[in-house]
Amino acid sequence: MQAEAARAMTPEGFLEAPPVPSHYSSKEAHTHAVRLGMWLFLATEILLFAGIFVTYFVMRDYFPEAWAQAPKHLSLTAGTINTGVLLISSFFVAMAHHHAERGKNRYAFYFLVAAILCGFAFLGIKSWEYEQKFIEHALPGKYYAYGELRVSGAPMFYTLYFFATGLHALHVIIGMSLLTWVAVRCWRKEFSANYYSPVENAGLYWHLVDLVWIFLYPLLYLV
Amino acid sequence: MSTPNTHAEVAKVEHDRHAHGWGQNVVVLLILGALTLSTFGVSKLTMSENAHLYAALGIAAVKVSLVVLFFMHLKDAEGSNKVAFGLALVFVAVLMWFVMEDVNHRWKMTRTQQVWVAEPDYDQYPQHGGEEGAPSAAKAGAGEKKE
Repeated sequence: MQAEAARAMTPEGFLEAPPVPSHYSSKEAHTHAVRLGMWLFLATEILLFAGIFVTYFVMRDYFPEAWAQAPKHLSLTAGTINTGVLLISSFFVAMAHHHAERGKNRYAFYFLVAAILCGFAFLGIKSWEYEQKFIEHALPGKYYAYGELRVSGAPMFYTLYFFATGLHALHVIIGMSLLTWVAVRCWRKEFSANYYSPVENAGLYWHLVDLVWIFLYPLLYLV
Repeated sequence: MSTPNTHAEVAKVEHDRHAHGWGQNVVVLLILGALTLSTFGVSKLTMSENAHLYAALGIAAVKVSLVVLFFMHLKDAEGSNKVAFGLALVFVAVLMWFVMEDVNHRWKMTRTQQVWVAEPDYDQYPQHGGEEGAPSAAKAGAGEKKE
């Protein structure tokens, strides 16, 4: 923490990058290690969501009629808009990364704020969808009492729907928190060509959130 | 090539690694948007359920590839990063394959009846579609969009 407090401004007007830990041979080795660590973390996240997708396919096999009928009772419009919102937010994050690594912290800040606003839009639409399901009692397990969809396995579909989209929404919230953290640091002009790993890694996390939704959208809403 | 050590050298290597910007990102975003619309369009075509599933998964795979390669810059990343991500996908494929093989064969070998499932108590909230709520004929029309 003392090193953090001691960081000075560079002649170019950036906050000086944190010192490279002594066990790394070079700045590049440190940057690569940080990046590899993030990709390994993303790999574990993929395997977390893989369990949900496998359950989806197993249950689809067990309850083909429920899986054929239930998506028609979700709001396709809301799902499609949310897909667009997340794709656009991913573009914003990619642009924030692009500017941060060129030292254009102010541009990076604005792109990150735009991405965070997209996150709020996504959560708002998702909340509206959840509200509809609660009103209809299209809910998981024993709470299911949706009279308009009376087929075997429908409660299981909604269990998966809420679990998958709920876990995804939790990732959206974590991603928004990370983007907020790096946006504040952009505002403080901390990033330059020498140091931008936090923007890159927060961005990678946000893109993962997008990747998961790219598969959830067709599986839950379309097929 | 010697390993860059000064900040300026590292900056140049990293900068060259990320030769991307507005143009590339906008093109990728437009393609992603077009693919999303195509997923939507294909879902409206008359095809078998499996064909719909494979089409949707195929388009999703293309979209994910674009995001990973361009937005996440995996195409420019070190080999170790590609291995970490690629192996995760291989492990997912193995998990999916083995589980589905098991499910498909178990069905034939040991399960002769539909899987047991508790019947929901539709009457616990009679005002929302339960029998006592006297749902109209239109309300019971499963398959209608809830837009």
